[in-house]
Amino acid sequence: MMERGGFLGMCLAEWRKARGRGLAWAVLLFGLLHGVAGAFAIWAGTRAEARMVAEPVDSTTWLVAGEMSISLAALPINGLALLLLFAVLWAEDFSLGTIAMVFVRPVARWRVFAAKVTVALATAAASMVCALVAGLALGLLLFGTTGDLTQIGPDTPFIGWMGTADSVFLPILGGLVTGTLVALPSVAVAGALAALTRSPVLTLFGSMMVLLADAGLAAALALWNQVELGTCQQAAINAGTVKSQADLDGIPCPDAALPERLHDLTIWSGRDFLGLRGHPEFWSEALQPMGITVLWSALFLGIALLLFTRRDVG
Amino acid sequence: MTDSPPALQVRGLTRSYGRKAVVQSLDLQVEAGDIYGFLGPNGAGKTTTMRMILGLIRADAGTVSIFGDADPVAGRRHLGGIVESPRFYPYLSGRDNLRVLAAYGPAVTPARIEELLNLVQLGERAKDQVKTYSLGMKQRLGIAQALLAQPKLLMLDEPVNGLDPAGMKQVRELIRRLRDEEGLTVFVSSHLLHDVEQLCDRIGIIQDGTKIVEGAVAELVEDGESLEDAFLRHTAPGAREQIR
Repeated sequence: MMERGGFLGMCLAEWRKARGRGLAWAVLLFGLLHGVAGAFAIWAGTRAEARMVAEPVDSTTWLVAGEMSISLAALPINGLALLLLFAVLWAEDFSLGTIAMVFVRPVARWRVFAAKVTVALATAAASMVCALVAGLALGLLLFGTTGDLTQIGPDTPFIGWMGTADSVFLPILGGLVTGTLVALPSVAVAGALAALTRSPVLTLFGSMMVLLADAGLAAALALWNQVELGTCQQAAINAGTVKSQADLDGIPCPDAALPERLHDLTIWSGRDFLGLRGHPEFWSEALQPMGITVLWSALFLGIALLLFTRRDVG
Repeated sequence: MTDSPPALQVRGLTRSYGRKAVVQSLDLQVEAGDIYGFLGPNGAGKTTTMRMILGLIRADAGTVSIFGDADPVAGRRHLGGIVESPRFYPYLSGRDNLRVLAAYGPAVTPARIEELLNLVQLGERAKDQVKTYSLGMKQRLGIAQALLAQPKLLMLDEPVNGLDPAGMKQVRELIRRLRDEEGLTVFVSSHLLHDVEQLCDRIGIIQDGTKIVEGAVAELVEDGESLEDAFLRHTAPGAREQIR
Protein backbone atom coordinates (compact mmCIF):
# COMPACT_ATOMS: atom_id res chain seq x y z
CA MET A 1 0.00 0.00 0.00
CA MET A 2 1.29 3.44 -0.89
CA GLU A 3 0.88 6.63 1.05
CA ARG A 4 -1.25 8.61 -1.38
CA GLY A 5 0.72 10.93 -3.62
CA GLY A 6 -0.91 13.50 -5.85
CA PHE A 7 -3.50 16.11 -5.04
CA LEU A 8 -5.76 13.87 -2.96
CA GLY A 9 -2.78 12.85 -0.87
CA MET A 10 -1.92 16.50 -0.21
CA CYS A 11 -5.53 17.18 0.81
CA LEU A 12 -5.41 14.21 3.20
CA ALA A 13 -2.16 15.55 4.64
CA GLU A 14 -3.74 18.97 5.22
CA TRP A 15 -6.71 17.27 6.87
CA ARG A 16 -4.37 15.17 9.03
CA LYS A 17 -2.73 18.37 10.25
CA ALA A 18 -6.07 20.08 10.99
CA ARG A 19 -7.29 16.96 12.76
CA GLY A 20 -4.07 16.54 14.73
CA ARG A 21 -4.34 20.15 15.86
CA GLY A 22 -7.84 19.41 17.16
CA LEU A 23 -9.38 22.33 15.30
CA ALA A 24 -11.11 20.32 12.61
CA TRP A 25 -13.04 18.41 15.25
CA ALA A 26 -13.93 21.66 16.99
CA VAL A 27 -15.36 23.09 13.78
CA LEU A 28 -17.41 19.96 13.11
CA LEU A 29 -18.66 19.91 16.69
CA PHE A 30 -19.57 23.56 16.38
CA GLY A 31 -21.61 22.73 13.27
CA LEU A 32 -23.34 19.94 15.20
CA LEU A 33 -24.24 22.34 18.00
CA HIS A 34 -25.79 24.70 15.47
CA GLY A 35 -28.01 21.84 14.34
CA VAL A 36 -29.13 21.14 17.89
CA ALA A 37 -29.69 24.84 18.55
CA GLY A 38 -31.65 25.19 15.29
CA ALA A 39 -34.05 22.36 16.12
CA PHE A 40 -34.61 23.56 19.68
CA ALA A 41 -35.15 27.14 18.50
CA ILE A 42 -37.98 25.97 16.22
CA TRP A 43 -39.38 23.78 18.99
CA ALA A 44 -39.33 26.67 21.47
CA GLY A 45 -40.93 28.94 18.86
CA THR A 46 -43.82 26.58 18.17
CA ARG A 47 -44.41 26.06 21.91
CA ALA A 48 -44.54 29.79 22.51
CA GLU A 49 -46.84 30.31 19.53
CA ALA A 50 -49.18 27.56 20.72
CA ARG A 51 -49.60 29.33 24.06
CA MET A 52 -50.28 32.71 22.52
CA VAL A 53 -52.58 31.75 19.67
CA ALA A 54 -56.00 30.43 20.42
CA GLU A 55 -56.42 28.76 17.04
CA PRO A 56 -54.39 25.58 16.57
CA VAL A 57 -51.42 26.16 14.24
CA ASP A 58 -50.28 23.85 11.47
CA SER A 59 -47.94 21.25 12.76
CA THR A 60 -44.27 21.82 12.00
CA THR A 61 -42.29 19.30 10.00
CA TRP A 62 -38.75 18.08 10.69
CA LEU A 63 -37.42 19.80 7.55
CA VAL A 64 -38.01 23.19 9.14
CA ALA A 65 -35.44 22.24 11.79
CA GLY A 66 -33.01 21.34 9.02
CA GLU A 67 -33.49 24.72 7.39
CA MET A 68 -33.01 26.52 10.67
CA SER A 69 -29.82 24.56 11.32
CA ILE A 70 -28.28 25.51 7.98
CA SER A 71 -29.23 29.13 8.49
CA LEU A 72 -27.67 29.14 11.95
CA ALA A 73 -24.51 27.38 10.76
CA ALA A 74 -24.05 30.07 8.13
CA LEU A 75 -24.16 32.82 10.75
CA PRO A 76 -21.00 34.70 11.70
CA ILE A 77 -20.46 32.78 14.94
CA ASN A 78 -19.70 29.62 12.96
CA GLY A 79 -17.73 31.76 10.52
CA LEU A 80 -15.47 32.74 13.41
CA ALA A 81 -14.75 29.11 14.21
CA LEU A 82 -13.96 28.50 10.57
CA LEU A 83 -11.76 31.57 10.48
CA LEU A 84 -9.78 30.20 13.41
CA LEU A 85 -9.30 26.93 11.54
CA PHE A 86 -8.27 28.68 8.34
CA ALA A 87 -5.85 30.99 10.16
CA VAL A 88 -4.11 28.07 11.84
CA LEU A 89 -4.23 25.82 8.78
CA TRP A 90 -2.69 28.51 6.60
CA ALA A 91 -0.31 30.38 8.85
CA GLU A 92 1.01 27.71 11.19
CA ASP A 93 3.03 26.08 8.43
CA PHE A 94 4.94 29.34 8.21
CA SER A 95 5.22 30.01 11.94
CA LEU A 96 6.39 26.45 12.66
CA GLY A 97 8.74 26.56 9.67
CA THR A 98 7.31 23.30 8.32
CA ILE A 99 6.44 24.94 5.02
CA ALA A 100 10.17 24.89 4.22
CA MET A 101 10.14 21.09 4.52
CA VAL A 102 7.11 20.96 2.22
CA PHE A 103 8.61 23.31 -0.37
CA VAL A 104 11.77 21.23 -0.54
CA ARG A 105 9.65 18.32 -1.78
CA PRO A 106 9.22 18.00 -5.56
CA VAL A 107 5.82 19.61 -5.78
CA ALA A 108 4.74 22.92 -7.28
CA ARG A 109 3.76 25.46 -4.64
CA TRP A 110 0.44 26.26 -6.29
CA ARG A 111 -0.64 22.66 -5.78
CA VAL A 112 0.05 22.92 -2.04
CA PHE A 113 -1.97 26.13 -2.03
CA ALA A 114 -4.87 24.47 -3.87
CA ALA A 115 -4.88 21.60 -1.36
CA LYS A 116 -5.16 24.08 1.52
CA VAL A 117 -8.11 25.88 -0.10
CA THR A 118 -9.83 22.58 -0.85
CA VAL A 119 -9.50 21.28 2.70
CA ALA A 120 -10.67 24.60 4.18
CA LEU A 121 -13.81 24.59 2.04
CA ALA A 122 -14.40 20.88 2.59
CA THR A 123 -14.25 21.44 6.35
CA ALA A 124 -16.72 24.32 6.03
CA ALA A 125 -19.03 22.05 4.02
CA ALA A 126 -18.64 19.25 6.57
CA SER A 127 -19.58 21.68 9.33
CA MET A 128 -22.75 22.55 7.38
CA VAL A 129 -23.55 18.87 6.93
CA CYS A 130 -23.09 18.27 10.67
CA ALA A 131 -25.51 21.10 11.39
CA LEU A 132 -28.05 19.78 8.90
CA VAL A 133 -27.87 16.18 10.06
CA ALA A 134 -28.16 17.19 13.72
CA GLY A 135 -31.05 19.53 12.92
CA LEU A 136 -32.92 16.94 10.89
CA ALA A 137 -32.35 14.16 13.42
CA LEU A 138 -33.55 16.26 16.31
CA GLY A 139 -36.35 17.67 14.15
CA LEU A 140 -37.49 14.13 13.44
CA LEU A 141 -37.70 13.40 17.16
CA LEU A 142 -39.42 16.66 18.02
CA PHE A 143 -41.79 17.15 15.08
CA GLY A 144 -42.00 13.95 13.02
CA THR A 145 -42.23 13.76 9.25
CA THR A 146 -45.75 15.02 8.73
CA GLY A 147 -46.49 18.68 8.80
CA ASP A 148 -46.81 21.80 6.78
CA LEU A 149 -43.80 22.29 4.53
CA THR A 150 -45.01 25.71 3.46
CA GLN A 151 -44.15 26.92 6.94
CA ILE A 152 -40.75 27.39 5.39
CA GLY A 153 -41.78 30.66 3.86
CA PRO A 154 -40.42 31.70 0.48
CA ASP A 155 -38.47 34.49 2.17
CA THR A 156 -36.59 32.11 4.41
CA PRO A 157 -32.88 32.17 3.58
CA PHE A 158 -31.02 29.29 1.92
CA ILE A 159 -33.77 26.78 1.28
CA GLY A 160 -36.81 28.94 1.46
CA TRP A 161 -38.08 27.67 -1.86
CA MET A 162 -38.38 24.17 -0.47
CA GLY A 163 -42.12 24.59 -0.08
CA THR A 164 -42.57 25.36 -3.78
CA ALA A 165 -40.09 22.86 -5.18
CA ASP A 166 -41.00 19.41 -6.45
CA SER A 167 -38.42 17.73 -4.26
CA VAL A 168 -36.75 18.70 -0.99
CA PHE A 169 -33.43 17.24 -2.12
CA LEU A 170 -32.44 20.10 -4.41
CA PRO A 171 -33.18 22.89 -1.92
CA ILE A 172 -31.23 21.08 0.79
CA LEU A 173 -28.28 20.53 -1.55
CA GLY A 174 -28.49 24.14 -2.70
CA GLY A 175 -28.56 25.30 0.91
CA LEU A 176 -25.45 23.31 1.73
CA VAL A 177 -23.55 24.52 -1.33
CA THR A 178 -24.48 28.16 -0.91
CA GLY A 179 -23.99 27.97 2.85
CA THR A 180 -20.47 26.68 2.19
CA LEU A 181 -19.86 29.35 -0.43
CA VAL A 182 -20.25 32.07 2.16
CA ALA A 183 -17.08 30.71 3.80
CA LEU A 184 -15.10 31.39 0.62
CA PRO A 185 -14.41 35.08 1.31
CA SER A 186 -13.03 34.28 4.76
CA VAL A 187 -10.85 31.49 3.35
CA ALA A 188 -9.50 33.97 0.80
CA VAL A 189 -8.81 36.73 3.32
CA ALA A 190 -7.23 34.32 5.82
CA GLY A 191 -5.08 32.83 3.04
CA ALA A 192 -3.81 36.22 1.90
CA LEU A 193 -3.05 37.42 5.42
CA ALA A 194 -1.41 34.12 6.38
CA ALA A 195 0.91 34.32 3.38
CA LEU A 196 1.62 37.97 4.21
CA THR A 197 2.04 37.89 8.00
CA ARG A 198 2.98 34.21 8.46
CA SER A 199 1.46 34.39 11.95
CA PRO A 200 -1.73 32.58 13.05
CA VAL A 201 -2.61 35.31 15.55
CA LEU A 202 -2.10 38.16 13.09
CA THR A 203 -3.98 36.18 10.43
CA LEU A 204 -6.97 35.62 12.69
CA PHE A 205 -7.25 39.17 13.96
CA GLY A 206 -6.23 40.70 10.64
CA SER A 207 -8.94 38.71 8.84
CA MET A 208 -11.53 39.85 11.35
CA MET A 209 -10.42 43.44 10.92
CA VAL A 210 -10.56 43.25 7.13
CA LEU A 211 -14.02 41.71 7.20
CA LEU A 212 -15.28 44.14 9.82
CA ALA A 213 -13.80 47.08 7.92
CA ASP A 214 -15.59 45.90 4.82
CA ALA A 215 -18.87 45.58 6.68
CA GLY A 216 -18.29 49.05 8.13
CA LEU A 217 -17.60 50.49 4.69
CA ALA A 218 -20.78 48.90 3.38
CA ALA A 219 -22.76 50.35 6.27
CA ALA A 220 -21.22 53.78 5.74
CA LEU A 221 -22.03 53.70 2.05
CA ALA A 222 -25.57 52.60 2.78
CA LEU A 223 -25.97 55.45 5.24
CA TRP A 224 -24.40 57.91 2.82
CA ASN A 225 -26.70 56.75 0.08
CA GLN A 226 -29.70 57.09 2.33
CA VAL A 227 -28.81 60.60 3.38
CA GLU A 228 -27.37 61.94 0.15
CA LEU A 229 -29.22 60.04 -2.49
CA GLY A 230 -32.74 60.11 -1.30
CA THR A 231 -34.03 59.06 -4.66
CA CYS A 232 -32.41 55.66 -4.48
CA GLN A 233 -34.97 52.97 -4.43
CA GLN A 234 -33.56 50.84 -1.65
CA ALA A 235 -32.62 53.84 0.42
CA ALA A 236 -36.07 55.26 -0.04
CA ILE A 237 -37.63 52.01 1.06
CA ASN A 238 -35.28 51.80 4.01
CA ALA A 239 -36.08 55.37 4.97
CA GLY A 240 -39.76 54.64 4.73
CA THR A 241 -40.36 57.43 2.22
CA VAL A 242 -42.02 55.03 -0.19
CA LYS A 243 -44.31 52.23 0.69
CA SER A 244 -44.61 50.12 -2.41
CA GLN A 245 -42.69 49.11 -5.50
CA ALA A 246 -45.24 50.95 -7.63
CA ASP A 247 -44.19 54.25 -6.05
CA LEU A 248 -40.67 53.68 -7.32
CA ASP A 249 -41.44 53.22 -11.00
CA GLY A 250 -39.50 55.64 -13.13
CA ILE A 251 -37.23 56.86 -10.36
CA PRO A 252 -33.60 56.74 -11.57
CA CYS A 253 -31.33 55.07 -9.12
CA PRO A 254 -27.90 54.17 -10.52
CA ASP A 255 -26.26 53.67 -7.14
CA ALA A 256 -29.00 51.74 -5.48
CA ALA A 257 -27.21 48.42 -5.63
CA LEU A 258 -23.79 49.70 -4.55
CA PRO A 259 -24.12 49.35 -0.82
CA GLU A 260 -25.88 46.04 -1.24
CA ARG A 261 -23.11 44.76 -3.43
CA LEU A 262 -20.40 45.80 -1.02
CA HIS A 263 -22.49 44.57 1.82
CA ASP A 264 -22.57 41.22 0.15
CA LEU A 265 -18.80 40.98 0.21
CA THR A 266 -18.44 40.45 3.91
CA ILE A 267 -18.44 37.25 5.80
CA TRP A 268 -20.86 38.75 8.25
CA SER A 269 -23.39 40.22 5.95
CA GLY A 270 -22.25 38.22 2.95
CA ARG A 271 -24.59 35.61 4.25
CA ASP A 272 -27.43 37.94 3.39
CA PHE A 273 -26.78 37.44 -0.26
CA LEU A 274 -28.07 33.98 0.15
CA GLY A 275 -31.34 35.33 1.42
CA LEU A 276 -32.77 33.88 -1.72
CA ARG A 277 -36.38 34.43 -2.34
CA GLY A 278 -38.93 32.11 -3.87
CA HIS A 279 -38.16 29.50 -6.44
CA PRO A 280 -38.65 31.30 -9.77
CA GLU A 281 -36.27 34.12 -8.85
CA PHE A 282 -33.59 31.85 -7.49
CA TRP A 283 -31.00 32.17 -10.20
CA SER A 284 -31.70 35.75 -11.15
CA GLU A 285 -31.31 36.80 -7.52
CA ALA A 286 -28.37 34.53 -6.78
CA LEU A 287 -26.25 35.31 -9.80
CA GLN A 288 -25.17 38.85 -9.00
CA PRO A 289 -24.17 38.38 -5.36
CA MET A 290 -22.55 35.04 -6.15
CA GLY A 291 -20.55 36.70 -8.91
CA ILE A 292 -19.46 39.46 -6.57
CA THR A 293 -18.52 36.97 -3.88
CA VAL A 294 -16.45 35.01 -6.39
CA LEU A 295 -14.74 38.21 -7.57
CA TRP A 296 -13.98 39.24 -3.98
CA SER A 297 -12.65 35.79 -3.18
CA ALA A 298 -10.64 35.67 -6.41
CA LEU A 299 -8.97 38.97 -5.50
CA PHE A 300 -7.78 37.76 -2.11
CA LEU A 301 -7.01 34.24 -3.30
CA GLY A 302 -4.96 35.80 -6.10
CA ILE A 303 -2.95 37.81 -3.59
CA ALA A 304 -2.57 34.72 -1.40
CA LEU A 305 -1.42 32.58 -4.32
CA LEU A 306 1.07 35.19 -5.47
CA LEU A 307 2.60 35.52 -2.01
CA PHE A 308 2.52 31.78 -1.41
CA THR A 309 4.30 30.88 -4.62
CA ARG A 310 6.67 33.81 -5.03
CA ARG A 311 7.81 34.80 -1.55
CA ASP A 312 11.05 33.46 -0.15
CA VAL A 313 10.88 31.08 2.75
CA GLY A 314 13.38 32.00 5.44
CA MET B 1 36.53 9.53 -16.33
CA THR B 2 32.75 9.10 -16.19
CA ASP B 3 30.07 10.85 -18.27
CA SER B 4 27.52 10.94 -15.46
CA PRO B 5 26.54 14.48 -14.46
CA PRO B 6 27.74 15.92 -11.17
CA ALA B 7 25.40 15.50 -8.23
CA LEU B 8 25.25 19.26 -7.86
CA GLN B 9 26.43 21.96 -10.20
CA VAL B 10 25.97 25.59 -9.25
CA ARG B 11 26.91 28.27 -11.76
CA GLY B 12 26.94 32.01 -11.20
CA LEU B 13 24.52 31.89 -8.27
CA THR B 14 23.81 35.40 -7.04
CA ARG B 15 21.51 36.86 -4.44
CA SER B 16 21.28 40.32 -2.92
CA TYR B 17 19.16 41.76 -0.13
CA GLY B 18 18.73 45.39 -1.00
CA ARG B 19 22.18 46.68 -1.88
CA LYS B 20 23.97 43.96 0.03
CA ALA B 21 25.18 41.11 -2.14
CA VAL B 22 24.94 38.00 0.04
CA VAL B 23 26.01 35.50 -2.61
CA GLN B 24 27.96 36.60 -5.65
CA SER B 25 28.50 34.56 -8.81
CA LEU B 26 29.04 31.40 -6.83
CA ASP B 27 30.20 28.25 -8.63
CA LEU B 28 30.19 24.87 -6.88
CA GLN B 29 30.49 21.32 -8.08
CA VAL B 30 29.78 18.23 -6.02
CA GLU B 31 30.52 14.83 -7.54
CA ALA B 32 28.21 11.88 -7.02
CA GLY B 33 29.14 9.82 -3.97
CA ASP B 34 31.05 12.59 -2.22
CA ILE B 35 30.51 13.96 1.24
CA TYR B 36 31.07 17.65 0.57
CA GLY B 37 31.72 20.07 3.40
CA PHE B 38 30.48 23.59 2.83
CA LEU B 39 32.31 25.98 5.11
CA GLY B 40 32.49 29.66 5.80
CA PRO B 41 32.43 32.16 8.65
CA ASN B 42 29.12 33.42 10.02
CA GLY B 43 27.35 35.59 7.45
CA ALA B 44 29.39 34.16 4.57
CA GLY B 45 26.23 33.18 2.67
CA LYS B 46 26.17 29.43 3.35
CA THR B 47 22.55 29.20 4.44
CA THR B 48 21.37 31.53 1.67
CA THR B 49 23.20 29.36 -0.86
CA MET B 50 21.64 26.19 0.52
CA ARG B 51 18.18 27.77 0.51
CA MET B 52 18.61 28.73 -3.14
CA ILE B 53 19.71 25.21 -4.03
CA LEU B 54 16.70 23.78 -2.17
CA GLY B 55 14.34 26.19 -3.94
CA LEU B 56 13.26 28.03 -0.80
CA ILE B 57 14.47 31.40 -1.99
CA ARG B 58 14.93 32.73 -5.47
CA ALA B 59 18.30 33.47 -6.97
CA ASP B 60 18.76 36.82 -8.70
CA ALA B 61 20.96 35.04 -11.22
CA GLY B 62 22.62 31.70 -11.83
CA THR B 63 21.64 28.09 -12.32
CA VAL B 64 21.41 25.01 -10.15
CA SER B 65 21.54 21.54 -11.71
CA ILE B 66 20.93 18.45 -9.64
CA PHE B 67 22.15 15.32 -11.36
CA GLY B 68 21.93 17.25 -14.61
CA ASP B 69 18.34 18.39 -14.02
CA ALA B 70 18.06 22.18 -14.02
CA ASP B 71 14.25 22.31 -13.67
CA PRO B 72 13.55 23.43 -10.08
CA VAL B 73 10.68 21.03 -9.34
CA ALA B 74 12.10 18.09 -11.28
CA GLY B 75 15.56 18.63 -9.75
CA ARG B 76 14.09 18.35 -6.27
CA ARG B 77 13.09 14.76 -7.03
CA HIS B 78 16.74 13.88 -6.44
CA LEU B 79 17.08 16.13 -3.42
CA GLY B 80 16.37 16.00 0.28
CA GLY B 81 17.50 18.46 2.86
CA ILE B 82 17.31 20.33 6.11
CA VAL B 83 18.16 23.99 6.44
CA GLU B 84 19.24 25.28 9.86
CA SER B 85 17.06 22.98 11.94
CA PRO B 86 14.40 20.42 11.05
CA ARG B 87 10.83 21.57 11.60
CA PHE B 88 7.86 19.47 12.67
CA TYR B 89 4.22 19.54 13.63
CA PRO B 90 4.79 19.10 17.37
CA TYR B 91 1.27 17.81 18.00
CA LEU B 92 1.71 14.91 15.54
CA SER B 93 3.69 11.75 16.14
CA GLY B 94 7.03 11.15 14.45
CA ARG B 95 5.35 8.67 12.12
CA ASP B 96 2.53 11.10 11.24
CA ASN B 97 5.05 13.86 10.56
CA LEU B 98 6.67 11.61 7.98
CA ARG B 99 3.27 10.62 6.56
CA VAL B 100 2.21 14.24 6.16
CA LEU B 101 5.43 15.24 4.46
CA ALA B 102 5.36 12.13 2.25
CA ALA B 103 2.08 13.33 0.74
CA TYR B 104 3.77 16.25 -0.99
CA GLY B 105 5.42 14.59 -3.91
CA PRO B 106 5.70 11.15 -5.41
CA ALA B 107 4.03 8.39 -3.42
CA VAL B 108 6.01 6.89 -0.54
CA THR B 109 5.17 3.44 0.82
CA PRO B 110 4.37 2.92 4.51
CA ALA B 111 7.17 0.36 4.45
CA ARG B 112 9.60 3.11 3.45
CA ILE B 113 8.41 5.23 6.37
CA GLU B 114 8.96 2.35 8.81
CA GLU B 115 12.35 1.65 7.23
CA LEU B 116 13.39 5.26 7.78
CA LEU B 117 12.12 5.32 11.35
CA ASN B 118 14.26 2.26 12.05
CA LEU B 119 17.23 3.71 10.17
CA VAL B 120 17.27 6.76 12.42
CA GLN B 121 16.55 4.59 15.47
CA LEU B 122 13.13 6.07 16.21
CA GLY B 123 11.04 2.95 15.56
CA GLU B 124 10.12 2.54 19.21
CA ARG B 125 9.13 6.20 19.68
CA ALA B 126 7.39 6.61 16.31
CA LYS B 127 3.92 6.89 17.78
CA ASP B 128 4.86 9.54 20.35
CA GLN B 129 4.21 13.21 19.72
CA VAL B 130 7.29 15.01 18.44
CA LYS B 131 7.03 17.59 21.23
CA THR B 132 8.19 14.85 23.60
CA TYR B 133 11.38 14.15 21.58
CA SER B 134 14.88 15.19 22.59
CA LEU B 135 16.92 17.46 20.33
CA GLY B 136 18.93 14.51 19.05
CA MET B 137 15.77 12.58 18.22
CA LYS B 138 14.40 15.59 16.36
CA GLN B 139 17.61 15.91 14.41
CA ARG B 140 17.42 12.24 13.42
CA LEU B 141 13.75 12.56 12.51
CA GLY B 142 14.73 15.55 10.37
CA ILE B 143 17.19 13.36 8.50
CA ALA B 144 14.43 10.80 8.01
CA GLN B 145 12.24 13.59 6.54
CA ALA B 146 15.01 14.51 4.16
CA LEU B 147 15.40 10.88 3.08
CA LEU B 148 11.69 10.25 2.45
CA ALA B 149 11.75 10.23 -1.32
CA GLN B 150 15.00 8.30 -1.54
CA PRO B 151 17.01 11.29 -2.69
CA LYS B 152 20.38 10.93 -4.36
CA LEU B 153 21.65 14.20 -2.89
CA LEU B 154 21.19 15.06 0.78
CA MET B 155 21.77 18.63 1.97
CA LEU B 156 22.27 19.16 5.69
CA ASP B 157 22.82 22.53 7.32
CA GLU B 158 24.54 22.22 10.70
CA PRO B 159 23.24 18.69 11.27
CA VAL B 160 24.92 18.24 14.66
CA ASN B 161 24.19 21.71 15.98
CA GLY B 162 23.23 21.60 19.67
CA LEU B 163 23.70 17.86 20.03
CA ASP B 164 25.60 16.23 22.85
CA PRO B 165 28.69 14.17 21.93
CA ALA B 166 26.70 10.94 21.72
CA GLY B 167 24.12 12.59 19.46
CA MET B 168 26.87 14.05 17.27
CA LYS B 169 28.45 10.62 16.89
CA GLN B 170 25.11 9.04 15.96
CA VAL B 171 24.44 11.64 13.28
CA ARG B 172 27.99 11.44 11.93
CA GLU B 173 27.78 7.67 11.69
CA LEU B 174 24.38 7.93 10.04
CA ILE B 175 25.71 10.30 7.38
CA ARG B 176 28.64 8.02 6.68
CA ARG B 177 26.37 4.98 6.49
CA LEU B 178 24.05 6.76 4.06
CA ARG B 179 26.93 7.44 1.74
CA ASP B 180 28.62 4.05 2.10
CA GLU B 181 25.55 1.80 2.14
CA GLU B 182 22.94 3.76 0.17
CA GLY B 183 25.29 5.59 -2.17
CA LEU B 184 24.01 9.05 -1.29
CA THR B 185 25.90 12.22 -2.05
CA VAL B 186 25.91 14.45 1.01
CA PHE B 187 26.36 18.21 1.09
CA VAL B 188 26.94 19.31 4.66
CA SER B 189 27.46 22.71 6.18
CA SER B 190 29.03 22.90 9.62
CA HIS B 191 31.15 25.06 11.88
CA LEU B 192 32.54 21.98 13.59
CA LEU B 193 35.69 21.65 11.53
CA HIS B 194 36.93 18.60 13.37
CA ASP B 195 33.71 16.80 12.33
CA VAL B 196 34.02 18.03 8.77
CA GLU B 197 37.62 16.85 8.59
CA GLN B 198 36.57 13.38 9.78
CA LEU B 199 33.54 13.16 7.56
CA CYS B 200 34.11 14.95 4.26
CA ASP B 201 35.97 14.04 1.08
CA ARG B 202 35.94 17.50 -0.41
CA ILE B 203 35.25 20.94 0.93
CA GLY B 204 34.40 24.38 -0.39
CA ILE B 205 34.95 27.54 1.61
CA ILE B 206 33.03 30.74 0.96
CA GLN B 207 33.47 34.19 2.39
CA ASP B 208 31.39 37.29 1.71
CA GLY B 209 29.30 35.26 -0.69
CA THR B 210 32.23 34.26 -2.87
CA LYS B 211 34.00 30.92 -3.09
CA ILE B 212 37.58 31.29 -1.99
CA VAL B 213 38.75 27.69 -2.24
CA GLU B 214 37.43 24.25 -3.16
CA GLY B 215 39.13 20.86 -3.21
CA ALA B 216 39.84 17.57 -1.47
CA VAL B 217 40.50 17.89 2.26
CA ALA B 218 43.99 16.46 1.83
CA GLU B 219 44.81 19.08 -0.82
CA LEU B 220 43.68 22.03 1.28
CA VAL B 221 45.45 21.06 4.48
CA GLU B 222 49.19 21.73 4.50
CA ASP B 223 51.69 19.53 6.31
CA GLY B 224 50.98 19.27 10.02
CA GLU B 225 48.03 21.62 9.72
CA SER B 226 44.51 20.92 10.97
CA LEU B 227 41.45 21.83 8.91
CA GLU B 228 40.79 24.58 11.44
CA ASP B 229 44.20 26.09 10.71
CA ALA B 230 43.60 25.82 6.98
CA PHE B 231 40.18 27.42 7.36
CA LEU B 232 41.62 30.37 9.30
CA ARG B 233 44.50 30.69 6.82
CA HIS B 234 41.95 31.19 4.05
CA THR B 235 39.29 33.21 5.81
CA ALA B 236 41.04 35.23 8.53
CA PRO B 237 44.82 35.16 8.25
CA GLY B 238 45.19 37.97 10.76
CA ALA B 239 43.11 36.19 13.36
CA ARG B 240 45.21 33.09 12.89
CA GLU B 241 48.39 34.98 13.67
CA GLN B 242 46.78 36.54 16.73
CA ILE B 243 45.77 33.12 18.05
CA ARG B 244 49.35 31.95 17.59
